Amino acid sequence: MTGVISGNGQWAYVAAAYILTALLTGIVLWTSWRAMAKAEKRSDALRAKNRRGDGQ
Amino acid sequence: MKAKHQRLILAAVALCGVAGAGVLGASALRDEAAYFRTPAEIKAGQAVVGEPMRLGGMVAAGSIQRQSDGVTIRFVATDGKASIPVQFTGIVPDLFAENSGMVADGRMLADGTFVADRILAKHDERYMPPQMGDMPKNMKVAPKV
Amino acid sequence: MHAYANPTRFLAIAKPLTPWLLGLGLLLVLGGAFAGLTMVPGEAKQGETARILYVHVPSAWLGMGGWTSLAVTGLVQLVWRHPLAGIAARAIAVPGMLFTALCLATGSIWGKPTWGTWWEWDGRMTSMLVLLFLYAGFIALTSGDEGQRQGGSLSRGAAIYALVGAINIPIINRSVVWWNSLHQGPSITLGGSSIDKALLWPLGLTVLGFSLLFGAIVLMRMRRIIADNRVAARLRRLADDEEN
Repeated sequence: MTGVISGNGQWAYVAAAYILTALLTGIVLWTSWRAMAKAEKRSDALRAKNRRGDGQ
Repeated sequence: MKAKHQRLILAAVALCGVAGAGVLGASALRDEAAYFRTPAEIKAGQAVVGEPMRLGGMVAAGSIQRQSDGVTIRFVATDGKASIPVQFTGIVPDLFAENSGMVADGRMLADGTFVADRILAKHDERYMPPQMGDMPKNMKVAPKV
Repeated sequence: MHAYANPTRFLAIAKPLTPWLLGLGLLLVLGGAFAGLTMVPGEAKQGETARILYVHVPSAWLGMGGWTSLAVTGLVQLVWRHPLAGIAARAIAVPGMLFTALCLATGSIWGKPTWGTWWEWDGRMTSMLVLLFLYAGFIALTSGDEGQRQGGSLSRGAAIYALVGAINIPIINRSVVWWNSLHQGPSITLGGSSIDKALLWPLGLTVLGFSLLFGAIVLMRMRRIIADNRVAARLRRLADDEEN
């Protein structure tokens, strides 16, 4: 009852908040990137195949 | 073009309707959605003696008194218009202090005292760097063991 | 042709823009987090826990901003049937839900040492939880639906859902003003900031940085949908060629 939060325990809360943010944001960034790279690779490969098929 | 305008008007009308309903609903909820009652609201009769409720307000300057059992405190909660004496047995959060906000779970007694089962500290919207000058003074207030 | 031309023009901008948003966003977020953790002092009363502000506020802004953009894309889908609107809405849903969840989680982590509780049903927290459920509902409504298999447009129901859900945004924003709440009032308003300058500047970095990352995630997810659409279109054409 001092009106002030003190002590080293508070760093655990700060760390938890930052780590959680980094982890979840990282997961969404990574999965979005992977899915995009895979889809665009597939699309490009198919376009190349299409061109060959058309004999252009 | 005509169909597009029709859809636009329809969407606008629907949106206004929903917004209106939302605002009406929100204002109707005004009392139901309140997380706590202020001392002035309680003094105006918005509390039933013995019913579980929440009281929120500032802890009046100089009002905290520790009782002789060592774990019970008494203080005065105020909102500037009215004041209510509060009694609480237990551990309060670090931020609980005089001239700070607090919210208490509990019930009113017939004599006008609020008996709290639990106390939360309410922080205000101000974020200030520590004033180096009065740090030592604050430290001395820390309880002697 | 209209439907095809727009994504092409969009990709011409989106492809070079994605790495810029990503790189600059990461740089600002990491810089802001470093500053918020090490370069500014703890707050006078809250001590070190006040540093959670630098991840909590951007999350709140993006969770709410995400649904606002979802409602705008829903409106554009409904009225103008622009081919990119539905794709954008689908791309916004997951990052919007991510930041709403982060806002709730970091707020809860801050609330325990500050208020003395992980969770209370006050107006601000309850309306933010409703936003999380709204995102979950939108994702459930739109994943695997007809529109996802056919170009990424939104169904009328999903677009209206996005519009109607937007009523929650002003409610979240005003909840601490309308109702007595445990959550404090707004620190940053049009009138100025009640966060001292010494503590405010890292917040600018993280808000801008997370916003850029949000943009990067949306662009990446839109590009994925467009690529999937093209694959589907080419497979259809290949199948037609073989029949002829």
